[in-house]
Amino acid sequence: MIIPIDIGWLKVKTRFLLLVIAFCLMFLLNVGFSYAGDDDTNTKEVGVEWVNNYHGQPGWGDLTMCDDDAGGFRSTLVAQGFTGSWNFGDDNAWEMDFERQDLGGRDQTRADDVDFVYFAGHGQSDSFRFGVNHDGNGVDTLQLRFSEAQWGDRDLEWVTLSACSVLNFATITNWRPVFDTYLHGICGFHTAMADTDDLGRLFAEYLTNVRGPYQIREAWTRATQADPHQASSVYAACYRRINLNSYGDPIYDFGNDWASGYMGNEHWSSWDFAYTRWSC
Amino acid sequence: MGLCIYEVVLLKCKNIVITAVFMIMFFSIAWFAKVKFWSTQPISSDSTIRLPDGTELKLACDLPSTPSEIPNIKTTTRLDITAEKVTYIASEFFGLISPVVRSEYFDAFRVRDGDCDLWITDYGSIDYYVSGIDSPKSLPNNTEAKLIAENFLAEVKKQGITPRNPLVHIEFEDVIAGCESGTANSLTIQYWDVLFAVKFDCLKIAEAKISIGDNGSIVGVQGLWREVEQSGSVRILSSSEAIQKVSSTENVKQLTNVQKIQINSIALEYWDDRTALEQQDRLMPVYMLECVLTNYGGETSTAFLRVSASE
Repeated sequence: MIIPIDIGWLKVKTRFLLLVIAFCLMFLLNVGFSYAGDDDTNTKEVGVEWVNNYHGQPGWGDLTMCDDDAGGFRSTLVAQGFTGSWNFGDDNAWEMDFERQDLGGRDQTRADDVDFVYFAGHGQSDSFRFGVNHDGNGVDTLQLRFSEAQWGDRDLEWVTLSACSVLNFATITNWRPVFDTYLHGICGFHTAMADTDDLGRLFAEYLTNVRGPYQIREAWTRATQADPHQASSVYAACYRRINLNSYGDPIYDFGNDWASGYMGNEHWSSWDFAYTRWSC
Repeated sequence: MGLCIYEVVLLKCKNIVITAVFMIMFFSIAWFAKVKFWSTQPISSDSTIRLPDGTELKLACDLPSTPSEIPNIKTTTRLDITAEKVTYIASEFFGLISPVVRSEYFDAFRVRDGDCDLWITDYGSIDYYVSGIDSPKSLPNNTEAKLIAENFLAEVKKQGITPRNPLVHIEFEDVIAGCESGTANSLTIQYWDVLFAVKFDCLKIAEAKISIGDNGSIVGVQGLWREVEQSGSVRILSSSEAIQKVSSTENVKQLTNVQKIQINSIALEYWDDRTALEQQDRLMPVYMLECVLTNYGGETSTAFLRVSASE
């Protein structure tokens, strides 16, 4: 018995199938090209920069432990299953990596292209400082001033600045416009701080099961208080957006008993801010 | 006779030459070995010197007279820290009822119960923290906070949780605003930190902090009171020699843009460079300088700067 085959119908089906495959391929390629080298499929990317060598800039002496400070944050989180993105130090740490695109910066492929950023180096109440000049627009060179940053328009959720006085309460409102859609908060210091090789590691340990898990603001509190390099005259700080559960922001995959778990970006539409500082 | 006088003169010349040769050799060796026989910049009370980086250093207190050596302090493990004891402490002092677990990362027991987290290590240190503290409705004043903390500490001592070495004692130091929170316009105190000095004989070996929150509740205890014992002695620098190293590596970050350092007090103490949960072999002698820092903009801040006292 011969089964009649509708050749025309088969052709249409084949064309439709090819069209679907081509569409899927185009989608995959498009994603691949748009986010080249990045892992935006998760919320666990970590990028760090640090500066020990300030090349004799007057008033900004060389530091010795910032590599271990920032590196400890990254390596501890990577050991806990996070994605270690970039790690740039000394002359490879550039201001442009944190600077707005419209000012010639490229934060869209660096700071704002990961979920957690940690910087260790010098700082003051309006900026944090780099060792070499790689500035996007030639203004305020060697330092990332608050007016040059706008974070969270892409991927960045938390920034930690292990640098003196960047979150000084007297000038904290300067940093408010830095918050774009997805940025949850900035951790840092109200006063000057001591150079440390422990802080980044401790912060990551308090965020995860090693010593925690704690929500991000509380993990920063615990880490700065546990850091043996910081005296009680040093005050750390956190400036953050408030959602309905103002303290409920643990790091992804490390929610705990009292937290409602990690909250996606959709929960961060509030523009109310809270500031907390504490003795180390 | 003439020969005799000649011999005496020759002997004198010989002695002079030998002495000269010895002196040249001695100072040459000293120069190459960079031995300092005198301080290049002696500092005394109420005097100001300029450090190599240009920072002005003013001494606004007397230099403490310190011995050339002090006890070398080693930490030891306590054999009486057991799960049963931790269960008792957790329940009696902090009202925690969750089971005690042994940490897989540290030599310590842990009890995590709701918002509360208690660690007690094999070295005897205690770390207790309460999360998610809201603005207090009835925060005691700082005098009341001090009293509450001292009573709590007395109870802890009574249970034998503080160091057993008879040379170790704990003294009140200060009450400070432990944590402040609010908006960009105003901050309110969330809890007080009552600070205590843990001393071996008369030298501080650690700091203990008891945090007092709403209605006088204990919201934090950081008792870095490891069990310690003396193991010989260690040579130390004089305070005069040590403070000239104030702008050394460790303090560079705090001294950023600082034009003047005024030292208001100097204390010889020990420094524990590990966290409460980590093992520590020995404590390091340091000079702790209480300073007022003035930056190039004229702003001042208080800071404690640590300078190694080790030779």
